[in-house]
Amino acid sequence: MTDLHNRRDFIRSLMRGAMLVILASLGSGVLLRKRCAQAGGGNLAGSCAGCPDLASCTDPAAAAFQPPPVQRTVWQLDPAKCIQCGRCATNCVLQLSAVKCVHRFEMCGYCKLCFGFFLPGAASLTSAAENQVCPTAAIKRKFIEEPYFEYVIDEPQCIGCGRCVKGCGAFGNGSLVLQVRHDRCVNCNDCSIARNCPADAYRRVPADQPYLFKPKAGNSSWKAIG
Amino acid sequence: MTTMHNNSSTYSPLVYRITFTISSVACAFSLLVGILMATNLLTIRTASPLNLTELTQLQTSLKANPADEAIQNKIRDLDHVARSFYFGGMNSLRTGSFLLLGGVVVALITLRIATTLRRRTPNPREFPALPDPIDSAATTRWVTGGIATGLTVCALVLGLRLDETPRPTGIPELPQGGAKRLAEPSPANVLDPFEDEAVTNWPSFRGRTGSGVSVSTNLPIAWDGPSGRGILWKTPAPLPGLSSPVAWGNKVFLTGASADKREVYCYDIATGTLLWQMGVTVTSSVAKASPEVNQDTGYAASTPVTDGIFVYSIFANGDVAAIDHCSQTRWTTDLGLPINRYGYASSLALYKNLILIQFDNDPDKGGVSQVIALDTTTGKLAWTTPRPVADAWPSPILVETAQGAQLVTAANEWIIAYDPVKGTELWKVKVGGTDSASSPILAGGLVLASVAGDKIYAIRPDGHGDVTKTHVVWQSDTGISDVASPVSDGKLAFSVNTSGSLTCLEVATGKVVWDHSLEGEFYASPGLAGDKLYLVARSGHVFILKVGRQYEEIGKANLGEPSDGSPVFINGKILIRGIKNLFCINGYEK
Amino acid sequence: MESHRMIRLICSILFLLSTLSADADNRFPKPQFESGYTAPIPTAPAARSPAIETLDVAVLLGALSLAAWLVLKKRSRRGVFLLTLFSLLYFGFFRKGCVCPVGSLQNMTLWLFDSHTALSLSIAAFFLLPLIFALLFGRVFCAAVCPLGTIQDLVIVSPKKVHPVLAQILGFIPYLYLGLAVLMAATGTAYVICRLDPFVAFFRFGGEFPMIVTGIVFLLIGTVIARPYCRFLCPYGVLLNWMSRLSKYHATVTPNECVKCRLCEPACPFDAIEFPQPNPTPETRNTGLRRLALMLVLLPVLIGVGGWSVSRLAPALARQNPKVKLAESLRLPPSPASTTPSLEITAFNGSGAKREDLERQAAIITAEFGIGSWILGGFLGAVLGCTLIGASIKRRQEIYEPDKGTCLSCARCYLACPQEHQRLGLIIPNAKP
Repeated sequence: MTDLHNRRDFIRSLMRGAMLVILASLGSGVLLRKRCAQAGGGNLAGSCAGCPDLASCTDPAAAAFQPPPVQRTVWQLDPAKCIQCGRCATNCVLQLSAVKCVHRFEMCGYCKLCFGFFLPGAASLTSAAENQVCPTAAIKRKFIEEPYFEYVIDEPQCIGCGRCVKGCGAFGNGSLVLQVRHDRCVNCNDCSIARNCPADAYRRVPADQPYLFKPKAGNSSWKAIG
Repeated sequence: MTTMHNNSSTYSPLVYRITFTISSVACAFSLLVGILMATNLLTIRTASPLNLTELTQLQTSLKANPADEAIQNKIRDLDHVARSFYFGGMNSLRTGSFLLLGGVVVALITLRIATTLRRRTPNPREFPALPDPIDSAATTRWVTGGIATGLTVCALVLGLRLDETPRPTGIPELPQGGAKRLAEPSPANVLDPFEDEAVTNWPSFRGRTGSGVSVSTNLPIAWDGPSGRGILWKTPAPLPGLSSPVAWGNKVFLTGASADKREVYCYDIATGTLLWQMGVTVTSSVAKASPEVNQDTGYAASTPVTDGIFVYSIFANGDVAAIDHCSQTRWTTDLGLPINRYGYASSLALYKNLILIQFDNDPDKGGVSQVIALDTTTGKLAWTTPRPVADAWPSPILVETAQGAQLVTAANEWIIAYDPVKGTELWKVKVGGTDSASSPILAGGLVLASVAGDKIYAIRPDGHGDVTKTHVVWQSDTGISDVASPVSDGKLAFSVNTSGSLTCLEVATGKVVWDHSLEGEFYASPGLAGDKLYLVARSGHVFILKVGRQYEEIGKANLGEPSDGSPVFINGKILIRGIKNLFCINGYEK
Repeated sequence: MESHRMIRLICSILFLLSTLSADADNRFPKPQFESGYTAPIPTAPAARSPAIETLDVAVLLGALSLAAWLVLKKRSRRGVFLLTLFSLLYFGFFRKGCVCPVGSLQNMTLWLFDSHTALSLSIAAFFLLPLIFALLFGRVFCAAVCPLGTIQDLVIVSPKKVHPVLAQILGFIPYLYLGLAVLMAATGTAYVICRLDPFVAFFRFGGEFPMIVTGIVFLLIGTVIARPYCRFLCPYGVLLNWMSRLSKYHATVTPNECVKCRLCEPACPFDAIEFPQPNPTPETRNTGLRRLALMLVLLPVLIGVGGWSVSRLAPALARQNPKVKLAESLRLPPSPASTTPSLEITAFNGSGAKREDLERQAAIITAEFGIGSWILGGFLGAVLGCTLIGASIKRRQEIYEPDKGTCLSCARCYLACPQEHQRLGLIIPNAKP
């Protein structure tokens, strides 16, 4: 009986050792394994599914850029892909979505007739409810000097529906963009908006560069800036 | 917890009753809060300011009467109520969740105390007998077998069930680039396997095949422009033009130009909303003179072409631009001012990564006619081939033959086919005539070209060199169209001339089947969809005939404004450009 | 009327302006302000700082060590209970439940299969630490650290025994769930475990309505059937179960030698105590051996049959992938009645992506599902086969001890043992109660 027990214990400790080795190699793999350059992070709905590993990647950009193997990532939406469908407002696990409209003042034209603010065909250029695009009146319009007006997003009011973004993108400079605000985002492992996004616009980006904006005109490529 | 075994002595009915009452109250409270929160959540979802139908209705009625203060006030009130309700509801949800948490914690603690109080010291003598290990092992085996069988059956049944649900089978072999736009040269003029795209996309002048043919059968035959009946939408084009719209997915593209401005427009196919308009400015063309054009061509007569990513457009001054579907200009280039008596009017063709341009100029004024191919990604010249013809207005078409793709061009002196990849001349047919504007078509494996002031030629597109004597299957003096191009379902070809004389010819022999005189003048090339033939008169009246060996009118509709636009068939709708507006027609039941 | 005309004028000016510039994004140049206006700088709140993530890992490590010490050395149910409360507050309500070790399983899988995924060290630690601890000390993670486990542990009011047949059937679900979750994660389709997490909505004070309802139902069931999610669903629990079976040190019911007093029989709310077996009905050695041989032969058969039958489901499973779904919907001829295509199709057409690329990706993913479904079926077959083999090997159970695989190391059974009372000095030795 003791013989049998000893044998069992021996097999068990052998297997335990094997398991420890497996777990340890997984851990060291996370530390050491190289990743493809295009990876913003765990992009579940990534655009290069089926792409070969970094070693065989022929993209010169990928070869030039050796990313840190370990990356902390957060969710962000790519304004270049966003079609302003309005699902950001309703699909976040938070009652009030973590996605908000962000105004990039350096791109703003300060239009008197801002299509991010006014409904097309607005009867008068006042901030009365019937003229406003925003369903929650979260954009504040302020006169600066003739004929320029400043538009500021009142973030607690903004529900991230993207209607103003659509108007500004269609007729204006596109200075209004939707972004995941990281003071609100709880960074769900499986982002509820991301899986409902029809445009595949959500991806994980490095946590130290958590916002995706379009750089100023002249540079056509999009990149993450802080 | 540590008390659980010493409690039989401390069991007090009073304490038990108190804890039990508290826990019942807490449970009831939590339940109430939970129900309130659930209803609150549902009302917030339904009454969110995002989807208030009442508000949208008010907005629409306000659009009709912009000055109506009553509606304005109603909107303001409703908006205020909705917003305070929404944000207020969210606040109460937050409060509710804390209340619920509190209630649940109290209920749990008291419930636990109550059950602990009631728990009796276990007495091993009351325990059930221990099971026989042999029996329990046997049970385990049987249950495992049951799970295995159950799962297998489930998987198979599910697999069969899901296979039965209709879904597209097999992935169509995807050819590279724009090749899928070419029609098969089969006698029946069968369209390629991309019929779905043929229905949803209309990428170039006269459609994917350049022959004005669509496989759609469910197209409207009745509408009335003046009353708006059967018109899904009409939207004015900011600048005039005689070009036809092209469509891809849910977007419609159009060009318009004046003497000094050239623009590309993108409309939403569902609503007609102008999604964007983009000016085409070529840097080198700043000092360029305006081209001389006449009324029959204008500054934007050439229809653009799209490959699903970019829209490529050309204008009367020789400016070419590639703009993506979201209005970003990819490149622009200047071909130089065309020297053309009536104004440049040929539309673009697309083959793989090449834009093909029939750029015919008046040799008497020093112009050189040529066919130009530009790279779609860069706009750089891929090849150019000079051609011995004078300025002309037909558009080139691409045909797929057993020998490969051909770019067929028509002009007054020659009908010439080129290799679209290299630009080398493949075959040519000598013709006569003057001022031809009619584009060739592919019908039943033959190239049909109507040359104004000459004849209609039917050419087998498999020759080499000058094939005037060898490959012209037939030629006909009857039924020559001058401005409009012919159209064919593969068996019968139809051509209409400016004065409205419509002729039906047999494609295989060139025999006249019937002719008929229509009321009005015709510039627009007719379109053929399924068994219906659409002829747009300059007055804006559209004659809808049944394709057949007898003349049979099945409808006559009116756009309500003059038009020279070819009909575009897309997804059960018809797009026609009028002199001012772009129309999207979904028709009504007669 | 006057204002109307003015607006129209402004409109046309704006359009005119818009056509002048070729760049859509600079239709209107930034104005030169004369009033000395300076634009406000929009805030860009930083993401959760790395320090907090390091803290999370440290707290996890601390909580696991404390749990192991409390369970094995201190043998204190009260300590475990307090740690449970702390873990629920920290990992649940403070950390909002994400990324938990259960979900990290999928991150790890995706990382293994998709070279584009970067995995942060903290997620790797969350995946590995509980497993390593289980390998050494049993499932102490389940006992007092897992936020999903702790929230259920607190609602156990009056646990009832689950009939062994039912328990065995339900106990197979975690394997199925694990297999599906790994398949879905490996193909980059979905994080199923996170999507179907019934409790995370409580930690966030919000979530999808159906999931909140499911969570409430689970908690209600949890008052009578202890920890239903942990026992009959948790896919990570499968891994912990395997590790715990090999554990070096594991909790025991008694601190001393078992006297088979039967007092601990009803103590475990999870039915995880193995009872000593009475003398079995006599059976010849040959019958047992023949059965074992049969089961050993059956194992590869089960693996094959499982693989084949699950592979029938591969197309249906592949359709869960958004890319495959999109490619398929683009392939469908548009129904003539539909006026607008779906948002997905609209977005795809507007994105400038090529159909060919999408089709290629969809084909790759579908092929992955083809292989994956064979592996999934084979895995399930192997699990069943191993169960059969296990049930055909004679094992002598002499004393009352926890089933190392399913025991959650919650320390509830300790105080059922009279020897534990003796150890704590609550009763005097040899003085029978």
